[in-house]
Amino acid sequence: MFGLSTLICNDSSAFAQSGKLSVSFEDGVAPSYDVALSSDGKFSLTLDYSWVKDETSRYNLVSYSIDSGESVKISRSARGSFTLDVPSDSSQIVFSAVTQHALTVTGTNDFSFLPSSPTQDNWFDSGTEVSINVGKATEIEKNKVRQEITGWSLDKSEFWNIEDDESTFFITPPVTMNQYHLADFFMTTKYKLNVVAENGVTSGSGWYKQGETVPIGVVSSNDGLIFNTLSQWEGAEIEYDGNTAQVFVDGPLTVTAKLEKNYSLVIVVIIVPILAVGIVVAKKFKRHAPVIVEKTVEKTVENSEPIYSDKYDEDLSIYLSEQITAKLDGMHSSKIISDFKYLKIKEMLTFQETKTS
Amino acid sequence: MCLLSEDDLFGRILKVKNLKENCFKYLEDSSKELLTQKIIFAMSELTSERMGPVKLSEIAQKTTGQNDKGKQDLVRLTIEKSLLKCGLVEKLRYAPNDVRYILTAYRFQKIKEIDSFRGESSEPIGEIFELPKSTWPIPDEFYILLAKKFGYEKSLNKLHADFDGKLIPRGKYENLNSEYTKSLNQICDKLDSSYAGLETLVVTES
Repeated sequence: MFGLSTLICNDSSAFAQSGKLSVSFEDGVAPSYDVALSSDGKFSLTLDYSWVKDETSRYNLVSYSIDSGESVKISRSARGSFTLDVPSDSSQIVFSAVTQHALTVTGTNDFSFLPSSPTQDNWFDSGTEVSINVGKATEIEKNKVRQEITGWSLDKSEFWNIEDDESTFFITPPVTMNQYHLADFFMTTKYKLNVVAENGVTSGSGWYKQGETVPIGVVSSNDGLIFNTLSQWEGAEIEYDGNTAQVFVDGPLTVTAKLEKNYSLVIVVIIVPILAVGIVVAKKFKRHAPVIVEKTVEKTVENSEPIYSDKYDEDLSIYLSEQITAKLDGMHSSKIISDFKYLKIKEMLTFQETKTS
Repeated sequence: MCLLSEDDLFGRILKVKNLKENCFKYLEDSSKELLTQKIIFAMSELTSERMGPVKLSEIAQKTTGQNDKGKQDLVRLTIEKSLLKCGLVEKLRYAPNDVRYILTAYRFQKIKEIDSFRGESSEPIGEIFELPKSTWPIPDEFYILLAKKFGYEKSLNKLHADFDGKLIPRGKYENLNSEYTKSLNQICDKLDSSYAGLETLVVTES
């Protein structure tokens, strides 16, 4: 249905119909019509900026020309009406409009178009290319809960993952606006894990999905010879076996490394010199015996020169291959590797060996 | 198209999922003949081969030997009525006509929920149940690195022993020692950086 409305206004209450204004549209985007005008009146022509083309597209006014004169650009707008004061001696006015298609974005509110729409909404001129610039994370609760985009689809037919990198924005490849498009973004909720310690550098802080098990750690700083060693973790359910620690993320968490003073280095610093002195003294007493052994060896060497294999490198390389194969076979027989993967890996290794040799 | 990252897959291996008794039963020997358990094991095996989520038709083929609509419906209903509700399986919709499934974890702890005046808590029962390691979604590279690490360690031991036994001259020993140690260190670095936590889980506990 053609939804363009036009209105002709005349401020002369008793004008005589003496002329005719022909209103038409380039490419027949709307029906042409004639309007009777008075020669002594002032006339205004009013048109909608946009009108419906079909279910998924619309026309939008871009310019006009009066009596085949120069084309005059219209400041573009999506909604409302455009009013033009028509000179009384005009006989013909031709309007130009372009087809526009909408680009709908769902799943996020934090986005913008590149370039932006000529009508300052989500409609774009037919044939143009548009990218969507989306904020990768939206904070729900400051420094505690946020949503991150993980993927997107175009027209619900193709799906792409979005890489979880350090960038704060994701820009889609250009979408050609030759029809209506729907871009749907998928989000996942992530929680902030804060790993803190009074003395030392911690690792593991970051944003994680619910259900993730995250390795955490702390490298404590020392006060001179006194170590600060980790005694326990506090703040959440943490699996800690004395060396490695893991925390299960089930919401925003702050875990604290509790450190305690360790004086072992002080003890070592005192004991080591004493031991060192002891070893030196002991060696002094033992030194004579090895001298006799060395003499015996020297005699043996004089009698027979050692015979070295020329192919030792090659033999060691073969031994290495055998050990690698043995380990693979072991993992296969202990059911660590499936038959499927075992055969694939064997083939790969054989291929690599052939290539090397 | 990469459907899931290796990190995501590792996360599922490293995680131990708590399951209430009514869900843990699907993993027990008593459920050996049930389709539910067959689906879990089939999904695990298929995911390991594909290194990503699997389609319903593949699961149906593996568990029933057929993948017609009837069998797919049966498998889908079983997954939705039991495994999804228990949180054992995750359903991923990549497109309207592309739905895939993946296990949420490969190691499970049976728990008993306790409701007392202190509030709700849970208590682990028995040992952690592991799906067969051969069906964990681990890339081939990891096994190759493990095998090479073992090979280089053994070769270095032999090299040292041969030098002590005067089977090689010092110059050659130093060269080979440096070359093999460098290779071993590179392998260890790669294992530590790309597969942290996995080696202990796969090898030490096997």
